[in-house]
Amino acid sequence: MDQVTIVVLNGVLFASYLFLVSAGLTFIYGVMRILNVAHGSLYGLGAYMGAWLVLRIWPGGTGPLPPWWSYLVLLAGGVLVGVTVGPLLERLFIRRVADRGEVIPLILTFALFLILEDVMKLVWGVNPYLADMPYSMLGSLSLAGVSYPIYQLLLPLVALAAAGLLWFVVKRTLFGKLIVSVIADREVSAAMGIDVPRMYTFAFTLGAVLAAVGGAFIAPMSSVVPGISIEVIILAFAVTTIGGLGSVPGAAIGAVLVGLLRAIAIQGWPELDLFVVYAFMALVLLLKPQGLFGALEVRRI
Amino acid sequence: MRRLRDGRTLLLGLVALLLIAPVLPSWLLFLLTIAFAKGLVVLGVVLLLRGDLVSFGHGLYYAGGAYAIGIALKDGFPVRDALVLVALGTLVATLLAAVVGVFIARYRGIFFGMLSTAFTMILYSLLLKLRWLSGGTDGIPVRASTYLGIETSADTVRLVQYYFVLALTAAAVYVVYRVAASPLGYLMRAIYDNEIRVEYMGASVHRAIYRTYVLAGALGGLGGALAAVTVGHISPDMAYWTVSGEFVFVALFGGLGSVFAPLVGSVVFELVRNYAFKLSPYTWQMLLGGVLLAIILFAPGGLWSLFERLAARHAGEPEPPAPAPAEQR
Amino acid sequence: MRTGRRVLAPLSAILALGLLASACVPGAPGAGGQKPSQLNVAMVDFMSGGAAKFGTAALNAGELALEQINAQGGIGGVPVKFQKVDENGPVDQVVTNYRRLVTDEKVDAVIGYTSSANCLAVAPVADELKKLTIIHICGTYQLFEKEPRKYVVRAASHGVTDSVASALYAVAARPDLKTVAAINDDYAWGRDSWELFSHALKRIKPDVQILDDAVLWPKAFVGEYSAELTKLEAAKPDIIHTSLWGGHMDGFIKQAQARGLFQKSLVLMTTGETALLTLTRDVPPGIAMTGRGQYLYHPEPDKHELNRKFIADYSAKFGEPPVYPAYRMVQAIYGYKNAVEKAIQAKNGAWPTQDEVVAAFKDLDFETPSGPIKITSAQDTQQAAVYGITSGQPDPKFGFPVLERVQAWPAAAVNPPPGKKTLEWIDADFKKP
Repeated sequence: MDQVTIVVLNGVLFASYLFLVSAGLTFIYGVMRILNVAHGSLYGLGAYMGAWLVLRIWPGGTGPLPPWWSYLVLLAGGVLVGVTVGPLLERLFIRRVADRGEVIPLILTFALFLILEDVMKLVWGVNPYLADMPYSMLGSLSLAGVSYPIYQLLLPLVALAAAGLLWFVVKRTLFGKLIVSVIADREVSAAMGIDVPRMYTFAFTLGAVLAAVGGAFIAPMSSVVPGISIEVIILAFAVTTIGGLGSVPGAAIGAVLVGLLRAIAIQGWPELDLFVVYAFMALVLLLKPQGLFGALEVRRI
Repeated sequence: MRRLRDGRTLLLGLVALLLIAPVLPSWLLFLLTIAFAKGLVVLGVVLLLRGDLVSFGHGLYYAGGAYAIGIALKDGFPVRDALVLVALGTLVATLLAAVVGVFIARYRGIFFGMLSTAFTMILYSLLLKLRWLSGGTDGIPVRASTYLGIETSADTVRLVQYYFVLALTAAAVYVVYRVAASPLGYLMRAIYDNEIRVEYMGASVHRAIYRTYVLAGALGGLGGALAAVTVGHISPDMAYWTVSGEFVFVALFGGLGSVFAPLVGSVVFELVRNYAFKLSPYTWQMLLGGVLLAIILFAPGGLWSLFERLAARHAGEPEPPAPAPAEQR
Repeated sequence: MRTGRRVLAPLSAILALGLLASACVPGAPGAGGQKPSQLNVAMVDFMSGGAAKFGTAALNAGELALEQINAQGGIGGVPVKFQKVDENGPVDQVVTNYRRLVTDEKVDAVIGYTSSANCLAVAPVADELKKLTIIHICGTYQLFEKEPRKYVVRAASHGVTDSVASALYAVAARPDLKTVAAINDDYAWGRDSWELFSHALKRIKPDVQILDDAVLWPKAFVGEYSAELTKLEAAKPDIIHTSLWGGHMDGFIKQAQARGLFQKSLVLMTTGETALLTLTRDVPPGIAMTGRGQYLYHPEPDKHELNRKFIADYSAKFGEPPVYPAYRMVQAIYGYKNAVEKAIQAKNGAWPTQDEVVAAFKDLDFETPSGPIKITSAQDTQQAAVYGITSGQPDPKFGFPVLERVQAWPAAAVNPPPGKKTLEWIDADFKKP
């Protein structure tokens, strides 16, 4: 029974982190039909910003503000990155190629990804940032015979909050209704008077904020080094492909499935923990290419 | 365009490559050798791009060809001649492509790209973790004792490798050149324009794509095998998605206009990377990204199209259109 | 198609000629014995990535040592020009950079390499290109035991010292220990470390039980260990062996501390010393660690002038005390200096060829801030071992907690005799001193 609990706990933890990264990616795809490789960079930027802010305000673990504020600081750092870098990328670069199919924007975002990798190195240097205070200060509690850091229970809450936010925005706000319209048919929406380019910018920014906040909240758990963006984007691709590109519920289910799968592998067959994720991705693509929740696309002639 | 495909110009280029080799410094020989090998992989990517398929996971064949050799050597493969080893690597990669192609040739666009990425990451995860098979993160050293029967010493190995790789590269490029001018090549071009029309014409789109895919996989494996023998060491990183991304980058950088474009692109890329890395290790990726951005926004035909435009302008001919990855349908 | 046919025949003719020509290319002239106006040295270590702080410490120490050597006239009277090269990147890029240093920049010696994977890849190339390469950190014992090397020298002890000392210290600190778990990077260094440690432990405590399910192999340098930590904890071992190093080790320490792991098991960190510098006040108490052969206070600076001066000069120049990567780079550089000067002496003042310098490395004894270093006839080094436990009390002078309950063992007790294979030695001859 203990083993199962451990697997479930680990699985939920992975799933949270995967969802935070993938939700924005799949949302942007759903709205703009663009697979944004630079999403990994937004995650990385959020991680660096969050870690850096925490270390600046609380160097050595103590500082002018109460430690509980560090969670707000992480959130703020992520949001800051998302609302500045997001619109910048969208307006200056992505907009120019949005009408050139799916492949060109993908490659363009790859170019942006390369650039942002070095931007991170130039801004924050190459040394690891270990901003563990928000993580360490919560301590741990005993679960299933092992001590489980409480921060790792916080992360699923953050993921749920992100999911809730997305749901609320899409279902309950005017912006959400407009977005649904744009997703359904861009031309008709434009004809109805919706400012489609502005919708695109908002959607992209929302996705960017999610990625950056995800990065910021993961940062206290491990050290932030150049290269985290590279690892994360490929996992995000796997999860969104499994769940169905464009579907946020799909991303959630995909994240849970991949998270559990990985947790099981680590417990029983640790050599295969990476393999199962990509094998599952390939399997889904082969059997149901639009993903578990993606809509079947009719080929337009 | 005709001018550049003219046999004479090609021959001159090849002769030049052959003759300058003995006077080049050893590091440059090494760089060119690697550039040729990688250029072959890029050629495979370009073949697919010409059919509007982005193989973001071509590292599968690059690593596959290399590891076929590595694992064979590790497990006591008796022959150590480079040609045999390279043939082994290419064969394994071709077989792999034949199998993978069955599944992947039915996909287009982003899904093709995603599936190819999934496959290369599958290989990566296996190479990384199955230490008993692949040596894990440490990789496997790869050393050929003879090249077409010629033994080498530390002083001559660079030059011999260069000629060896150049010979095989030239042969491979020639084969691709013929294929591109064959019905298969024209069919791929037609598919790029409008796949449905090709179907209505009665030709098998699926078969054309499958065959091109297997050829592309063979090229990838050949390039990987040559790279393995030249560098002398292989590691699982060869299958990581960023390596495949680099091949796509070079494909666009060189341009899709000619079978020679990937090689030219690859050589220029390696030279630029070598110097950019030396000058500024923390901004060379930014430079690459910036160049790619510039190409996408301003010169979608890549280096080759720029070259052709200049040549055409020089000769007073009308400028040729630049082929690029498919635009909105 | 005509174009193609026109190309094919001349193409093959020229290719055949080309291949024939290549066989007649003369080799490069051998390194001469003339005194150069300047020596060109490349130092390679991690300048980016998780090990950046580690590598930068080594490169800084190298810079300091060479500047001091140049101030006194250089090596054998020849000033030394040096450059720092980043070791970060995939293995084939490291190899390519190495080739560039040797054939393009024509350095006289390459000093460096921290990652065992890189050493194993570079060593055969060093012999192929015939370039003196002095390894300063790589710990894999396989470097010389897989195949003999001609141009590769290692100026610091390899993993056996740390692994064997870990076993000795574990038994000394917890004489009643019963179970062992481990977490090591899944690459040559991690694999070798565990292999040597487990064999040594079994030798001196045959009834110890290795918990196979808790001998973990996370992907090298990954940095995030929540799943592994859960497993380690669930196994409840008496001791945990780890050879994680650099930035990812720091992450591990933090994550383990959040779970109170260090209070539940005795963790042996074979490369732990650098954490004292990166985590300073946050180093938890109760971790057993070593500085891979030496440690700041050992040899004691009050009694060892070279060490005292090194700590003082390094701290003054770089604002923090030196850690073991720094010490090892200095060992490598002093080794180079001593070898060259020994070769000059053997030649009665004439400048030696590279082969003569390499030969001079054999059976070379010299003093360094780490204490006396001996490079054996196998071109490898044997050093003493030091182990201690973190005290949790920041030392006022250094700002970080120092080690207490320190134990030291002489080189002969923790290294196989030259020429003897490490694993064989452990299984047959090794015993508690």
